Formats: sequence, C-alpha cells, structure tokens
Amino acid sequence: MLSNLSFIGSSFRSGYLMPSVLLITSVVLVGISIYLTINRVIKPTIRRLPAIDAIDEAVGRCAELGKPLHYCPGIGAISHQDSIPGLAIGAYVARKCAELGVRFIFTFMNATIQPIAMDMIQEAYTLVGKADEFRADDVIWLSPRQFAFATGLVGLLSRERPGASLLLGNYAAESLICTEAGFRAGAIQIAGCTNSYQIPYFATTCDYVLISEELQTAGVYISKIPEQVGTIQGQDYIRLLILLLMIVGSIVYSLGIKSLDAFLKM
Amino acid sequence: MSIINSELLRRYLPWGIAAFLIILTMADTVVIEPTINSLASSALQSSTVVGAFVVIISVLLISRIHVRRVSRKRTVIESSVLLISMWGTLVWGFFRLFGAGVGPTSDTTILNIFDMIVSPGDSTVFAILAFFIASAAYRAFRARNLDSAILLVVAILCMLAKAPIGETIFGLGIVKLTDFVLNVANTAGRRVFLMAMILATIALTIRIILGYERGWMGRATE
Amino acid sequence: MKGGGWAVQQSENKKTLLQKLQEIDPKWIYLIQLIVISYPLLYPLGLPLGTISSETRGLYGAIDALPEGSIVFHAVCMGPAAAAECQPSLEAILKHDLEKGHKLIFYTDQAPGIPYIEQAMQNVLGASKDHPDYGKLYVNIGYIPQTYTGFSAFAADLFFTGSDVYGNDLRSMEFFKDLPTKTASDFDFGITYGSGNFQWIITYLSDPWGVTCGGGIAAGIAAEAYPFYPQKTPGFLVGLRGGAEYEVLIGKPGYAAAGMDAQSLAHLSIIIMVLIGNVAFLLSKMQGGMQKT
Repeated sequence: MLSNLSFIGSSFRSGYLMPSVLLITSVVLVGISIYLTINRVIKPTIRRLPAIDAIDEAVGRCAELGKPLHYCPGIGAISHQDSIPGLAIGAYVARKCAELGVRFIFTFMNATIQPIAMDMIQEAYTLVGKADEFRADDVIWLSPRQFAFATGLVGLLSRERPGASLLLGNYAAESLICTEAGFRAGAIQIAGCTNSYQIPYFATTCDYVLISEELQTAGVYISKIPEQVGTIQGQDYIRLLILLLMIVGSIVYSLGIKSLDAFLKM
Repeated sequence: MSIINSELLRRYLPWGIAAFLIILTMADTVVIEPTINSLASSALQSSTVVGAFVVIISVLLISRIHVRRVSRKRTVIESSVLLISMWGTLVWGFFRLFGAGVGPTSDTTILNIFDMIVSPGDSTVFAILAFFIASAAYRAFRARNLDSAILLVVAILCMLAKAPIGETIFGLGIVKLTDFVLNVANTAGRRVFLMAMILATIALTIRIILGYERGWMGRATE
Repeated sequence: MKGGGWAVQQSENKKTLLQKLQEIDPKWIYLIQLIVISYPLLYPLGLPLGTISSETRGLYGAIDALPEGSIVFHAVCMGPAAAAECQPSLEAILKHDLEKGHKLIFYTDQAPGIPYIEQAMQNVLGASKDHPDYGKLYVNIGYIPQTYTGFSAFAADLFFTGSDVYGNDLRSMEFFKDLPTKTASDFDFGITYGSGNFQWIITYLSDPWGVTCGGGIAAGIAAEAYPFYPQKTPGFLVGLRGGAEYEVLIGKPGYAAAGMDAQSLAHLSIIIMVLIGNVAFLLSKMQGGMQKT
C-alpha cells in the first residue's frame, strides 16, 4: 500500500521505499548540520589527520633538499568520487609548493583531469604571485592505460627522485608499483584512496595513509570552510542514525521480532 | 569579460547541469515514473556517447603533447614511435572499417598488435606486482609492536591457507581459521570501510549539489 | 622524518649478519621469487589442491541449479593484466554453462576485454561469431564505454547499443525475441570478472534488477567481496585458486590447476623471507637489550 504514492502518480520501485526515506533523512540531516554550522549554533571540528599535517612537512623537506614534489590524483576520471578530493588537495599542495619555490610535478592518467589540473595549478601559482614560475611541462599526462601509466610513473620517479610523492585519489592494481618506485627513490610518501583493497598496499609502503573517507574529508580539513565542515558533521549524524538502527535492529531481530526487518525492506 | 569566460558559463552552468543530473538519476533509481525514467535513460545514454568522445580528446591530447616534444627535440625517438604507432593503428583501423567493412574486433592486424604488444606489456607490468609484493611484505611485516605482530601472524595464516601447500602441511585447521578471519573479521572491517565510503560519497554529492565543492569545475573566471 | 628507502646512505660501519638479514637487497628477493615461480611451471610438483572453498562451491551450486535455457550474463571486465588470473575462471564457468545448456551474453567495460571474450568463446564454444548458435544462444555485446553509466544504460534497454560487437542488429536476434522486458531483469545470473571491483555488479545489476550475481575476481580484490557473501552473492572465485577449484568441480582441470604449484611455492617463499627478517629483527632487539644491561 505504502509503495503507491498517488499524489504524484508514481510509485517506488520494489524495495526502494525505505532506502529512499533513509536517503532523504540523510540529506535533511546534512542540511540541518550545514545550517547549524553556518549560524554557529554548533562548532564542529575534524579530528587531526596526521597524513594531511605531514603535507606541510613534506613540502618543507622538498624545499630543504632542493628536490621536486610529485603529486598524482590517481587513475580516475574527473567524475570519480576520489578525483574530486584528490584535485582539491592537489590545489592546496600546489599553492604550498609555489610559496616555497618547490617544483611541483603533477601526473595523471585520465584525459578529463587535464584541463582542470592546468587551471587549478596555474591558479595556485597566480594566487601567491608567482604566475611566471608555473611550468605547463610539469603537468604530465603519462598514459591513458593503467599499467603504461604505472611504468611511466616508475620512470619519472626514478629520474626526478622527488623528495615527496603524494598519491591521493583513485588507485587500483598499479598502486603498489607506484609506491615501491617512490620508496626506492627515497621519497616520503603520503597516499590515500577509497578502494579498501588498495589500502593495505599503501599501508605497507607509504609513510602516511588516508583511509577511505579520510581522503574525502581531507579536502574539507584543509579548507575549513564552514559549509563543508557542516557536511562532515552531517555524516556523523547519519552514522549515529545507522548505529542506532543497527543496535535496535540486532536486539529486536534477536528477540525474534522481524517486523523492523520487514519494514526496512519495504 | 566575454560571455565564454563569464562566471555564468564557467561556474553556474556546469553546477546546474551536475545538480540536475544527480537529482534526476537518484530519482530514477527509486521511483517508477515514465518521464523521469526516460529522461534519466537518455541522460545515461548521452553520457556513454560523451565518454566515447573522451577517447578522441585523449588521442588529440597525446598527439599535441608528443608533437610538442618532438618539435622541442626533447624525446624525439620515443615520441615519434608513439605517434607513428598510434596514428598508424588508427588510420589502418578506419581504412579497414570504411574501406573493407572489417571492424577492429575482427581485423587480424589490430588483433595481432594487441596480442603482440599491448597484452604482453600490460601482463608484464602486472606480473611485476608479484615481486613488489614480496619485497614490500619482507620490509613491512615486522613485529615491532602488538598491532604489527597480529598483522604478521594473520598475513602468514592467509598466505598459507590460500595456497594448496598450507593445507598439505598443516591440515584443514588452517583453512577453517582463515575462513573465520576472512568471513568474520575481514567482513566486519570491509563493511566499515564500505559504509564510511558511502557516507562520504553522500556528503560529497550534497556538497556538489549545493555548490560547495567546486574543484571539479576548474577556475571560475580568467 | 620518515622516508628515505634504500636511497639513504648506509653508515660506514660493517654490518652484522643480523643487520644484513633485515636489509636484504630486493634483487635477491626478486631472484628467489623468479626461481620458485618458474621451477614448478616447468617441473610440476603435483601438490593436491585441498579443500574446495565454500564461496567456490556456492557459485558452482548456483550455476548448477539454473535450468536449461537460463540467461547468464558475463561481464568480462578485465584487461591483459587480470586475464592471467581470471581467464581460467571464465573458461571453466563457460564450460559449466555449456554443459547445462545456458544462454550466454557477454559484455565488457574496457576495450581490451574484447579479445578475452573472443578467446573464451573460441576455446570453449569452438567459434565466436561464426558459431551456428550465435545470435540464438550466445551474444557478444562487446565494449560499452563509461563503465557504470554505460552499463546502467544497457541494463535499462538491452538494445541500447543497437548492434553487437560484430555489427549484427540486436533486434533481429532470436536470443532477445522471447525476453519479456528487454532489460537486465531478464537475466537469470550475472558474473563479473577482473581486477576492478566486485561491488559494482551488486550495485548496478543485482540490487536494481534483482539478478543473482557472482564473480571470478582477482585475488587482490577478493577481500572486498566477502561482505556481500552469502546474503547478496551465492559465491565467487578468488583468483587463480578459485579457478582451479572450479575446474576440479567441473572435472576438467586446466591452466588454473596447473598454476597452483607455483602459487604454493611463491607464498611459501614470501613467508620464509618474512620470517627470516623478523627473526633477525627480534634477535637484534634482544642483543641490543642485553648490551644495555
């Protein structure tokens, strides 16, 4: 009965009514959180992310050693959920490098990243008043193929021997190849992606790792824009809701009451 | 400021299109409403066509980069080989398709290029992972503290159980223990990652819809 | 500050045996790996495969239970890299499908996947587009770009591409004639192959279209498939070992089973090297502790 919504003449797909309600609830929670943060009713803080704090140290190390810094937002297209925070953090790192006069080498695999990356890095240099130091040749598209890209990256890291290699974005099977190459080049490595099966490879070969949602939160951690911090707080509210459902659901289901389960599957 | 470089075109239009398409595809996923469903279906089909055009952009971009390198005498041989092989394959493929009606999936030359050059190259680099995993494991799996000792023990367990030799040496017990690790401990951890990723994606999507996440649009103005 | 790797200059003092064992040059590690992987490929040891895992049995059981004429969707989302691990799984499952009389539809989300579909069809069915039952029992849609959005468009309308990979019109094919909805809900089972991710087939095929799905996936990504097992997926094949187990279950050992000896020795060699490093590390810590006292 509930799955037929006559007021707009449409009906929910089977089994999607409650997920839709939960989704709308999530959106409302995030909206409330943004509103409360903008109006300073709540002052959410993001816990310290050692990997992001290490970025400043990494840039400083490169400046001291006179070595370049390598940054790669991964193999994903601009539409990938990891590419967006990867580019956001890349913009921050580019600005830091421009401030300290560190050569910023940016590599990528997908063609859709190129125009955004060029804009972003050029803007970073312009913002610190060093537009003439921007080198378009340092925005390097290695290859559109995954393993050709990895091979190219290995070669680049071996030749340039950067002081730091930041791999923040979407990574798949080539992740270990890239991080081993960085390790052999003597670079400090900071990596992160949301692919949970690549995180163990990063953890064993990199100095700092951003695990799963930390990557997506990192952009907000850096910018500290209230509206964005509000969305992170909203995530926590959704998490509390999920926890509540899990605890109540486990207890209720264990007692043999299956109505909540049936209700959530509507 | 020209209309092309205006804030309307560089910021608000992409934002509006992205927000509209996100809400449309979300609605299509959950409701059955002919207008929404057909609009979303058209949007999905259009994005597939756009994706195919990205290949054209890729080819042109590669060509521009490597022609520039050749003209600056930087990597003349490598860039020349790349340009000749890429355009040679493309031209041959088009010639066979439009001249002889043979598609690239059926043309023996294209298939031979794939079998002899692309396939071995990709396989070789992927195979390097086997060696890199060995050296990374040797370096990283050290029992420096309790956490890393647990990691070491579990890693050894899983490696033994997932190869036939583990059961041959230690019997069925090691397989059952590893099954517990994978089906219970690993599953619990993976579900946490999954949920965290989904929550972060929801938050990111809301930021994009509301216009708070603008990195993907590039610079707003010149 | 961390970092430095092997590029950092070592001290001039002579290293003890324990220090050397903790810092073995990777070249020696690679040489050992090369030997232990190559030897059993040339001179098989014949190690028994051992217990078939529950996830492999689950997938086998699910495919075995499908009646004749069921449509099995094979998403061969792999390139040359993953093919070494997943192609044996694909061929083993196809042999099973052929035995059971299932109808097969192939798709790939990457252009390099097309030759692997061709190879599998040639090896298992004997022919691809020239097969007498092509268009009736077997269809190869080929490559659709944009992975998830492309597949979603295809799932909503099976005639989305208009033609198959060989240019034949899909609407004229007998394969699609009696399908009730001409959408992905007409599939009876879906299997994904490759080293991409397993979750996509649950999100884009299983949940929205109600198709039971499994996988023949690379071992590196298998860990992320366990959360979906067994509620969302009856089973999946984990890397080459899963392929070998499936070959044993269908009674046709092949390439996967032949690679098990090499996998065994490779795992064992890694474990031995890790243990050597750890023993040297612990002994040097103990020695350092004793020297302090």
